[in-house]
Amino acid sequence: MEEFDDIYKQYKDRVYNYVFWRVMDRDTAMDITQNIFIKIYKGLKTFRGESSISTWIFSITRNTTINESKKIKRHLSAEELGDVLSIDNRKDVELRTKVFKAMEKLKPEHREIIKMFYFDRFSYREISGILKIEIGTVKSRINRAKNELKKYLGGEFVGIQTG
Amino acid sequence: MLEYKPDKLDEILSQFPVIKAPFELDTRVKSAISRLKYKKRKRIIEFLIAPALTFTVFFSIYLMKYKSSNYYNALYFNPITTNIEDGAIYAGEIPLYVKIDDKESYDVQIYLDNDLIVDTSNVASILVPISTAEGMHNISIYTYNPLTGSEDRISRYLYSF
Repeated sequence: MEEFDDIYKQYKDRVYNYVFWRVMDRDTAMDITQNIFIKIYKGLKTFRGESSISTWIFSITRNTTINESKKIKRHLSAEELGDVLSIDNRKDVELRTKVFKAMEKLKPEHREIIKMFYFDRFSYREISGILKIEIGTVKSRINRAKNELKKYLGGEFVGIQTG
Repeated sequence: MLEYKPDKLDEILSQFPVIKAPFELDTRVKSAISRLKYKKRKRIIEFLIAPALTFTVFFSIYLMKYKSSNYYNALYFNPITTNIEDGAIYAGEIPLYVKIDDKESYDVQIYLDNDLIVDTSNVASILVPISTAEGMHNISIYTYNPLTGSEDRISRYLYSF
């Protein structure tokens, strides 16, 4: 139990942040995060250390979030999205809203890797472990995703090629 | 290989905040884990208690049966006279039924007022209709186990008219 407590303290914010950016709802994110930690608690005894604990935790997080968010078909209104994105009271909410909306048009694998890299602050190595792809593939996928995103954003973002 | 330079999009994407878990999450996860532990404990207790209870119940029934039979008092002797009782009154004929409640066979002798009326060996049960004169009688059943050498005797007084 002590081990679980340590894991919970260390990962609760990162897991919640991951889930929140996928479901965009506080209560749903809490429900899913709670289920993720129950799975972690149950699986801790059988965790064999084949991957790092962080990779194991975020693989559970990713799978659970994918499965549970399938049940939720929720589209945020512009106002709700603004509320979510102004959570840290910064002024560039409009620009962030624009980027976030453009992200919805991305291929799912591109959207996922952008969120993992920028929203969840995963390292290349962590993404590589969770998605089970090479680090080189992670980097190139991020670049492709950003270029696709720029295409949808247009205007000031066009012409700046990444990578 | 081109050197990577963060651009404006990088800047915007990096400004998305990291959302901290609400305080309620701690309570919710703690109580969910406690419920899980309680269920686990309950399952373990049920797993241990159920067979222990079953064993206790069956053992109690066995003990009760064991004690209720004469088996407990007389190791190899247990003739049960199911249909005559001390002081019973019969009209003429006494349908004496002697059952030897044991897998071993016994030699059985039945006396009516000290007269031998049945003398048999290797039986498990005997049905003996006994005609009696009017009045008080005594029936004695003597059993002997040739294998163990154990013997015993029971007596019943009854009245016939």
